[in-house]
Amino acid sequence: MSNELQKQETQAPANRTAYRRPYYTVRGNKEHYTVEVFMPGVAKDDYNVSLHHDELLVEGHKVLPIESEAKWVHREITNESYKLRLQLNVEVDAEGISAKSEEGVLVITLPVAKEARPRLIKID
Amino acid sequence: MKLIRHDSFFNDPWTDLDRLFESTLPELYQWNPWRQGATTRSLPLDVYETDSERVIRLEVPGVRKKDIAIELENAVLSVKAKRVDKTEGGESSIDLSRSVSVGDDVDPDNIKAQLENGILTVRLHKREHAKPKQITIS
Repeated sequence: MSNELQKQETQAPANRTAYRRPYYTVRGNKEHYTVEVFMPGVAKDDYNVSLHHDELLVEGHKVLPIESEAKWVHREITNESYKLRLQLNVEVDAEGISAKSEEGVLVITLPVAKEARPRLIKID
Repeated sequence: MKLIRHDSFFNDPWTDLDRLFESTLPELYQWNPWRQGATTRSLPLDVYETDSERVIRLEVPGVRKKDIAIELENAVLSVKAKRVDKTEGGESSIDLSRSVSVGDDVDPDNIKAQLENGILTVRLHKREHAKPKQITIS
């Protein structure tokens, strides 16, 4: 077996366990889109939203501390941080992107670039 | 036009397979309380305890403080929450609920609840006699 093949085998699952893909919703109209990303456990300062070309990257660092002497009884909530990578199909105005967090939900507003908005063409 | 062309997760080879399963078997494949469809849904929950208290933690993203009701009856703690979604045509709401047995050693008059970043933390203090006590041999 070549070294390259072995490397691939060990790399793929590592990314998978390190982050959780958050649930998200998208709605919008001709002027702007709103993406809501559900990331409970992420504080306001622990979000990161960036746009690189047509790819929107949303990261949220989840912190859920428990007392050091505490004992687990039952566990369903994971403490993995969130990462979402979305390839946008619509040209957006990068300067106009805004985001706010509300009760564990990050609301990102993406204005559609002027060039990409539908234009009404007058008939002479 | 659709906003999202592709949802990639770090060139993860399983992403495409995930998407296939999610679209064909959404209820079975990924348990998600926020998914559209059902009218009442369950909430993910953590339980841990220290010597003095038992702590219940629930994920309630997008739920406002005033839309949460917490009740303790016969050693069962029930949390009912309502998430209100603003849509283009008005509002729609989803009911979420979860009940958990907390044991009869908690003090019903000393329960504290806190909502932060979509995480609801309920702290139930244990009664004095329920706390572990060191017994010295005479």
